[in-house]
Amino acid sequence: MSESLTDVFGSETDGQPEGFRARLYDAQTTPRERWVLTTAAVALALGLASLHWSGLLVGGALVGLCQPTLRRALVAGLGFGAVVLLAMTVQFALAGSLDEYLAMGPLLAVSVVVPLVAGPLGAAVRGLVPDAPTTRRHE
Amino acid sequence: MPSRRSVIAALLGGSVGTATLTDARGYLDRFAPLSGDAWGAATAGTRERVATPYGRATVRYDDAGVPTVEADDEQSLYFAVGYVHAADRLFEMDLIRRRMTGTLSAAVGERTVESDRFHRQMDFAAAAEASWRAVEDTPTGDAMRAYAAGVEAQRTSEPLPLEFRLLDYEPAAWTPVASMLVEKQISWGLTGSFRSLRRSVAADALGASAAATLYPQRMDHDVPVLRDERAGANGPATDESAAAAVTSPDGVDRTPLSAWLASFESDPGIGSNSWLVSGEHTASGRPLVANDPHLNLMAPPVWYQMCQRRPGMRVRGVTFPGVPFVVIGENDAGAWGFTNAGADVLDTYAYETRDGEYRYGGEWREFDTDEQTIEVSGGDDRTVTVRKGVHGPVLEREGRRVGVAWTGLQASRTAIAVHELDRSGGREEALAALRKFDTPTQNAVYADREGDTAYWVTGLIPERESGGGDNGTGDGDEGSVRGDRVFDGSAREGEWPGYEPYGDPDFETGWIPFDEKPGVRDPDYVATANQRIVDDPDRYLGEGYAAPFRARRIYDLLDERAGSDDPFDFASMRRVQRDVVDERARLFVPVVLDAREAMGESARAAADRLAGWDYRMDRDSRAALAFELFVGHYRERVFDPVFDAAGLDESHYPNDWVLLTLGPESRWFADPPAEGVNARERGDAIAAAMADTVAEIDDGGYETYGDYNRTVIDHPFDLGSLNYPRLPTDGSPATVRNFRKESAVGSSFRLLARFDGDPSLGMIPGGNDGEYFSDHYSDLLRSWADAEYRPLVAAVEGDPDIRFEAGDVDSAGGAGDE
Repeated sequence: MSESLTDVFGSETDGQPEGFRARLYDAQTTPRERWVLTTAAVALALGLASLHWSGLLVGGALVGLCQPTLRRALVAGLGFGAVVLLAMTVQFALAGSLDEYLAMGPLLAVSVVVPLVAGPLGAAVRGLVPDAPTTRRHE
Repeated sequence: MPSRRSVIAALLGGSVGTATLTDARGYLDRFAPLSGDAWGAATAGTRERVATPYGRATVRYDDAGVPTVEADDEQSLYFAVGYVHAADRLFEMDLIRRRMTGTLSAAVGERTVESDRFHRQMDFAAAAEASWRAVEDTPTGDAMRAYAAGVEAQRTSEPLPLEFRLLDYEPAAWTPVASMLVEKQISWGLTGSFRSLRRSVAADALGASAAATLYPQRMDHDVPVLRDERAGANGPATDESAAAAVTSPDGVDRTPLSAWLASFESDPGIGSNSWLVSGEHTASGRPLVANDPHLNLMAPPVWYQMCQRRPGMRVRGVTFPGVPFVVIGENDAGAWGFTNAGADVLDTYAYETRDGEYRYGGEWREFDTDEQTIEVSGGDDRTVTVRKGVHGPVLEREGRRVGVAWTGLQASRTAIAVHELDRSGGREEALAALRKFDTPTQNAVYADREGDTAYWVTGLIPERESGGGDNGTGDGDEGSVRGDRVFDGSAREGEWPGYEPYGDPDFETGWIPFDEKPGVRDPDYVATANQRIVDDPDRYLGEGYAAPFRARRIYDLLDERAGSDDPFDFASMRRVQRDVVDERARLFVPVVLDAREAMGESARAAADRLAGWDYRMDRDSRAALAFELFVGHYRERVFDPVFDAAGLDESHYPNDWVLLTLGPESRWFADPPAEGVNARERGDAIAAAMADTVAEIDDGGYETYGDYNRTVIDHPFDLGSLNYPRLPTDGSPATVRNFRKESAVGSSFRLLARFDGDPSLGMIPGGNDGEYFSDHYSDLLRSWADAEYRPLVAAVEGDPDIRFEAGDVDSAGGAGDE
């Protein structure tokens, strides 16, 4: 990779973020914008996760990057994992096979644990970028 | 101290690397939510319209997932039948094929290597190909091709069942030869018995006389299938006076070989009940037929229930997944059922060998050998030597060899027979079809709407000859050689004229002619429960018959009804099929009660439960619990000391009739046939067994029989969720309503057929759909456990679930001949 994370997200001079990162921080710290972005990220991530399990990691990352801090990103990643489980439950319920799914013991356990781990793991990407400055937070 | 960024980068890199470069990737591919391959089976549905290269057909499923397939003609029908078989049972079909071709390990790994080794050595695949060659140019061949095309249409266009996704493989194309492999498995499961080898091993270990008590030539009872064929003037042989077992001809200890083969033979509990009553003795004036084959109870069931209809044929009953035709059931003309006949159709041979050759009469021949590789999923591949001689496969274990002749190793016309049976228009057409029922040997019962009935033994039964070689040492006279020993193959003992392993036999020469096999037209009533067929057959049929407990009970009930003022009716037939009185208990409980003085306090209390008991193996009975567990412990107490000293395993246990008729003076108590085993009183063995019983009841926390006697019907995978629920049920290994908890064998289909205008009844143990996520995976289990029935009625109302319409089906091209 020729580009560093710093190149992508911009650099900080005098403690003030600039460029893309500044815009990202704005989005992360503006509640309405954050919710819109997070919702869009969840929708996109569900689509990706339906194609391949790596979509769970990518989804976690997308959701995490919508959050102002690593801690909140991890929580959001966990929430994304829960949304995935909810989506799967609805899918099974509509197909009339929910009872059978819930009786699957170890296979059920694997399918539950995977999104709850992959979501926060992907969201940990948020930690590669410093938390949004406190002064920008609107909540 | 590392920065947050570097820690997170390392965490992410390590996690992604683990997920993509280790076994975790396979789990994620299969079980990750939303994308996991395994979950595709949970949301898959069957298409409503299917293109067929044949004519139109429809499928309607009833409320238990039992399909009715209707079509304009034969091939359209069987294409649709193949499609629904694949939709509901594709994994089961593929598993059978893999088992019989010795390719299981390529899918499931190390645990089936020995099974693959055995099945490769037997070369069932070549036997199936021989059967297909005998059938392919007949209308049955056309039907089987259409069926295979239907399977292929489903396999190549619909999502695969869960099991394939769990094992991560795709099944190969289905072919008519694969259907023949299913028939071979059924035949092997019913007639593949190494009893003569086991008897020979026991004779070598215990002495011929003691072995003869374990495997008597004839059990002393008076309820053969055909009771009018009375015993000769000297009466039936008693157990302990039976002729001595024959030791091995070459003195080679084949104990390891016999023990290994025991894993692949038919289960000792495999058996069945059937009976028919003439219309002259029924309230309706029409005959009644009952049948319940006792096969392995598994998830999904061994049978697939369905109705098939086309112009000129309407048949209802059960098929085997992989076989197009209804095997047990009824059509508009008649009803039929099968039980195992117990005929001896497998012989074993020892050879004199040198440098890869064996002597056959006056000449030395080379074994036909082939080195094959057994692919093992997740393990090292294995090599197996497939060796064949003049009699068929030569099986080897730890350097011990034995040649095997089995009627199922040659071409069989059974598919034609069953196909014609489905289309038969009455008794004579049915009997004509049964003439071609080459394997397995069965007791067939048949009744038609006109009131004509018949019982007949089906299947090729060899007429053995000895002495054909230069050094023949056999009995010498044709047709009288018994198959109850390991023959000296080099001396050409026990030859089967007409036998052609892996080839097309002469069906008319060397076998007991159909008309000379036991059979009867228009009996008042006749009952089969795998017992001896006739007391004094003109020719040797076999001797591996079941203990006569079920036969006695059925005949007692039928005799009682026949002797009363009430004619037989449908309800009386149902009562017989649901009967749970254990004749073992009637025979032995008095003996147990007499032995109470030798028992300790707790054992005596348990034995006291048996006093006044009605011998019914009901789930809420405490006496039934004590008796069933007692029998198992008594068997161990009687035989284990000797077997342990002689190096024999439990596969050598005799049946319960032998066990429970050993008198107090039997040498098994007075003079045990093994060094170091002391004489003991029978009463002491009974007391010890009852003490063991009490301990097992305490350990298991059992209160009633139903606490112990619960269904154990499992999927071949060791995965709890795929197994059926455990439900209490009634019956025992010896009752008419048959259930063998320890070996998971029992009534695999219950049929009660009638011709009085009301529907016949049937029930399978579990569910008709083998797809785990289906509503019909196990929906019939409770009804089966409670001995309830469903009407055998075709679903003809409402919109079809699947419509087959003319059009090209690309996948059908893969379903041709192999």
